[in-house]
Amino acid sequence: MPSLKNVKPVSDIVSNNKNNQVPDTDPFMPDIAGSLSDFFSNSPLREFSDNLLRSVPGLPPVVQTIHLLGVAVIVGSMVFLCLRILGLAADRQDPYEMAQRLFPWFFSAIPVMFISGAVFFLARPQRYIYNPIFTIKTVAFLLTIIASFWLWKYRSELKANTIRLSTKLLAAVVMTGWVITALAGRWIAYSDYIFWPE
Amino acid sequence: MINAVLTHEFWLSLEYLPLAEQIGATWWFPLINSLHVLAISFMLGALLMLDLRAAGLAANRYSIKDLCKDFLPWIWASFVVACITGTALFITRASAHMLNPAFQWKMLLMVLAALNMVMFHRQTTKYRLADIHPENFPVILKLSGIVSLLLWAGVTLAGRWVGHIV
Repeated sequence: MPSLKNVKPVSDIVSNNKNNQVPDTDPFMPDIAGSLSDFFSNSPLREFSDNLLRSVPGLPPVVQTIHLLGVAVIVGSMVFLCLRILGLAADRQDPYEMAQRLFPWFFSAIPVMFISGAVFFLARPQRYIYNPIFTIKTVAFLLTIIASFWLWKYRSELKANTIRLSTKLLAAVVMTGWVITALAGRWIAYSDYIFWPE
Repeated sequence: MINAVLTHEFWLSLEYLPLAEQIGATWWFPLINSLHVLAISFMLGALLMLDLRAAGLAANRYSIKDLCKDFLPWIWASFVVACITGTALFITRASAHMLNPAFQWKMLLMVLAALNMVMFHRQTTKYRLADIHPENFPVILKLSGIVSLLLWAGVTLAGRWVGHIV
């Protein structure tokens, strides 16, 4: 458990929030966001990431570009595979062959995405933990990655001449899920527009 | 000459268009920006598959011709959306963007990517190469696929950098 001595003052925690609203805490509910925030704020990785992003010139846009190119790889592999399964794209390619060829690209992109994202998360954990859009992104990501593994597990269904409706529905979920995750990622920086309008 | 273009008052006048003010002052900006990112990821996702095939590194069981038919409509449609949304973002700060080195690099790299694409297209159609076996595909055109990917990665980096300078 984090010690109370090292807890940052509330003013620091919400400094990113435009109207300086203090998150409401219910005395009878465990403060999950607070505990997470304390844990990451006090971790040595926070200082390391923060220093890294500040001291290496040009590193923030470079890491963001790696993250962005990772999004393109996920779209190129998973989203286009799902579009193929739904009969909306790439109809000159075989869906099962596509799955065998493209899933490794998707699986390689995930750790790259996780690390390039974590550098930013660890540098300023409060900015993300108290951001409702980040919560949406996390939930969308977790559901979509589970659905993606499910699609991988049942890929032999794609050998059939007519792909079953359940497989198509799963593909629709996976495709929509990745688009929502990517859009939520972009909106993390814009949450003020939704939650604290001028 | 080039400075006269970059600093021309035309760019400033774009910022005073009612549309530019509407975009810059409201939630239209983040909405258009996210559509821009989405269009880019669809374009690059499809382009990645096509370029890797052109380089002979992936999907060699399909002809370049077939993959072009599969992916070029997606690439062009996404590119058009990216251009429209990009212009909409550009006019909100046109005069500053024209002098922003990251923006200048982005435009330069896009011109180079276009030249590379025209060269690839002319060679493959002239010598009817789109159907041939990957082993017989000229090395210079395989390199062109790699160069395309590097240039577009550069465009992405420069585009992302624009926001760090303005």
